[in-house]
Amino acid sequence: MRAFLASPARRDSLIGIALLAALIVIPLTGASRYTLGQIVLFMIYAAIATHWNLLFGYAGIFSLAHLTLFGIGAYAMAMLNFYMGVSIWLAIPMAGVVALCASLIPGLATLRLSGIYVALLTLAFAQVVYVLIVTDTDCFIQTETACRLLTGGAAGFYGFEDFGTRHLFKSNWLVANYYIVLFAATLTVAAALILMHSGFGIALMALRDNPLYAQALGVSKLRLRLQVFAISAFFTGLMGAIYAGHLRTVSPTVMSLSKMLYLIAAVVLGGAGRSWGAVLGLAVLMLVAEVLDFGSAQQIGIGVILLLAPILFRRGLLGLTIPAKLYDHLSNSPKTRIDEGRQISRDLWPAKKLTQLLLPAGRDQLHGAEGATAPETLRQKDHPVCKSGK
Amino acid sequence: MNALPQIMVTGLTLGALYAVATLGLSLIWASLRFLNLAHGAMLAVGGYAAFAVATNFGLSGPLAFLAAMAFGALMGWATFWGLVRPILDTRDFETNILIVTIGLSIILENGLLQIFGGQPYGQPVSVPGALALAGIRFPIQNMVIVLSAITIVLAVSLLLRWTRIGLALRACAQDRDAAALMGLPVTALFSATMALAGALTAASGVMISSITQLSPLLGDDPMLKAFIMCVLAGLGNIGGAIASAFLLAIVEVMAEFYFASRWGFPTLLFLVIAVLIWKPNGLFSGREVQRL
Repeated sequence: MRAFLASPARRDSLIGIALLAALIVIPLTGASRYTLGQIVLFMIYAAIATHWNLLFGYAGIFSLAHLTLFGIGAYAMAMLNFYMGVSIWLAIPMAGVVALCASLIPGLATLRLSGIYVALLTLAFAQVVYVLIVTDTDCFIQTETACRLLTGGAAGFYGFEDFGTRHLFKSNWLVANYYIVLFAATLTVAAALILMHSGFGIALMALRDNPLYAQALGVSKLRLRLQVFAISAFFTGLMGAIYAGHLRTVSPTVMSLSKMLYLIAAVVLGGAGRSWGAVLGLAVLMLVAEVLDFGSAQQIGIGVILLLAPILFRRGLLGLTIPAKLYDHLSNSPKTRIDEGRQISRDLWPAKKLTQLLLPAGRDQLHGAEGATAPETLRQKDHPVCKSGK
Repeated sequence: MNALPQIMVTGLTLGALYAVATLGLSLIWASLRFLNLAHGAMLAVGGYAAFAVATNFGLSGPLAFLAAMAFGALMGWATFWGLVRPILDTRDFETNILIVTIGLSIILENGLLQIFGGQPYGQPVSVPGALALAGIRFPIQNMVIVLSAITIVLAVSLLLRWTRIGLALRACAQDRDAAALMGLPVTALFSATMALAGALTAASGVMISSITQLSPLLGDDPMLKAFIMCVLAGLGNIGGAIASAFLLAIVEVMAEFYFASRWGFPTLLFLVIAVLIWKPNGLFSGREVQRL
């Protein structure tokens, strides 16, 4: 069992399956409508928070436009359906593609630059989209009773198709919605987890920690970062469309900065750079809000979490629970006696792993090779992370 | 009627406001190399501080302005010791400090909301009236703003260029370790930089609120624009940031006048994105940018 769990990928799939099973069972236990509704929101936000964790915790991309892409997905689905009559089931994946295309604007402009510029320009991008929707006041379609704005303006967009579950399942519609959202969220989280554990994810981490080294191994910084940004934009837009289909209305507040900060607080609290950090952090935040009613002070509470988390525990709640020894064991890095050495080896493991993946066998001299060799198929030229040939 | 003179008047006023708003942000980046995302909230706190002392203690305009600057300096100093210092030398400082300052920003803005409420106030520290010259209207408040902005910018550049402490601050910004080895009290100088930046931020908050209104979120928009100006000039390049503040303010006012007011900010953003693709290190970057 211990040997089986030694692989982080296997451990994460096991946790994922357990979580999925629990979520499948919950509606069958006769949970109240309120509980189900809250869990639906939890699943949606946990899925996109996991993708933000992939961006920030793994690739080091501090994007403040994540919820904007979520909102773009929601609006894209609603508008495709309302103006062009595209069926909702077709509009949902199309919304993902729209969000992906939109993400290329901030992505191409910022991802070759350092972390600060990414934060700044994604924030500016988010603000522009928000302002353009809120200040939209020109009639797009004039009906006999009212004037319809292109984006619905500050009041939000409504009147598009939902999942159709209200018609089909009558009073049980919420349970049907629950399973639709569960399906989409599972897909989205699974995509993020697969990327985190793949050679792609390791290359991203190595790029984040040792950019020069990773680039020297043939990994293209802009290309890889743009890819992960676009992929997460696709899934985030997809969840946005699901959100719109569930709530039957989209308002510009879904992409407000305060929601974005809530998401960041969740990831930082749970542990950025930990595969389940986002899910755990969000669960804790939502449960705490259920139990204690902060009222108007709730925002301040989020502020305190953001303020204290990086100072008190730098690796989030999950960083607290996993003892350093176990972490070393799981991450396959050499065991060292001194704490500092352990820290360094922990920081270097992505680079080391990347070396194993990319360099031919027997050349892994960089961190004191342990005889680990890369399989024939993962040799430099064939590996997907350096196909660009640069 | 030719609108150009009026556009220039508005543009110059905005440029002066943005220049002071950018100064605090740029100082911190140039010396401590981090981005203060609580900048907007600190602007708002400065505006409210002037409001509070002017209404509660009946201080006159200039005194209230100075009181707000003192409060801002205290805030910058406390932020350094309470929040920046504990994580200054840790790994991932660059991103962790973003999160910490976001947290600070949320606390400050919501604190203002709890104390003063969400309704907007007028800034009592302002000068009413206007001069008319050759058919162009010059509100006195705008002239006061431009004059104080020029004074502040000049004072800061003189301080950095010609005084001993300015020399020490520049040495710290250039190479922290070398400065420490030469016996400079680096940590104390950093806290002084943050106090100075805090004072400038508060001053700019008072000035901005004097032509708009006081609200807890009043600093968010100027902060975003200050960011854009720093990026356009190349982060940490203070002279360039001031030049781009005026340039962008005039572009923004013209875009708002000739297209529509909602396109002012998007125009700025597209301009910056174009500049970043063309010159990723900023418009004014030579081979070596002098940071302070």
